[in-house]
Amino acid sequence: MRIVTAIGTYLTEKAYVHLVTKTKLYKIFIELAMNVSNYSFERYQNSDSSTNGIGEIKIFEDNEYMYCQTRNKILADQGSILIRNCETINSSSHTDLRLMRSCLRKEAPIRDTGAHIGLITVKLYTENQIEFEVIEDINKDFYFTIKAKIDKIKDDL
Amino acid sequence: MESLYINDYPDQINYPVVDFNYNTGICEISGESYMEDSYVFYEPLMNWFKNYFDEERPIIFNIKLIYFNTSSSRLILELLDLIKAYIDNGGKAEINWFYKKNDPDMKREISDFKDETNLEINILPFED
Repeated sequence: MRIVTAIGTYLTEKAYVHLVTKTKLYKIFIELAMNVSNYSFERYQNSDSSTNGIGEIKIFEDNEYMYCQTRNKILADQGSILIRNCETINSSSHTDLRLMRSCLRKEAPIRDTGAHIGLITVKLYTENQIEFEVIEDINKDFYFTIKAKIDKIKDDL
Repeated sequence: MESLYINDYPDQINYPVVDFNYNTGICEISGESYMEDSYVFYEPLMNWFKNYFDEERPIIFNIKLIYFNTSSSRLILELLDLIKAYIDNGGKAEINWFYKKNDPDMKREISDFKDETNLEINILPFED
């Protein structure tokens, strides 16, 4: 968790973009990083026997956008669920997503870490389509990749 | 009953500061909230609310979280539901939720909480 916090802090201090863009990037980074930590099939065991997920996180940019992308191992049967959820999220309006999130949050068990709600929240923050894919590698392992892009606001920094 | 003050993780920004004052009724949570096991952190807060409301004392709940993740949001909703139940039973409560002016997403999220809970929440901007 300290790594996530340190990178998040670095982003808020060093990313040379508009404050609104920076805030969105920070929030999206935390959500996606915690999804990897909570749900990646590949786990790292800590000294206290707790585990954290293993995956990749990339932050990059071009002239128009900042990007946050994660990739982690999943079980084969999770792929279709993730694809369906992401397709639903991408095809829903902002209003529908907010309603969807509210319903899911109300119904969620109190100890739920909320992966589906997290992806809805990422989509709301990014205000762009999320890009996603599930691929199978030569070892027959499945990986889920998700990429969120955030508009760079062009006002004075 | 005693006040509840939690600042056990001053070097970890992902834990908020909790300052629930029994004597004044002003209860505040501030900072950021995205710890790994949110329930473990929030359970004492929920228990404190339940005990406090049993004494039928008024409460002013100030939320000054500049970021909270999904699992924290579920527990914040739980705290608000406790207040809603208290108000419905005749209790006095005021909720003020502060957000950074340059964070329109937070303002929208607070509005959603307002709709979800049917609570009167004062949504108040502050400068960074």
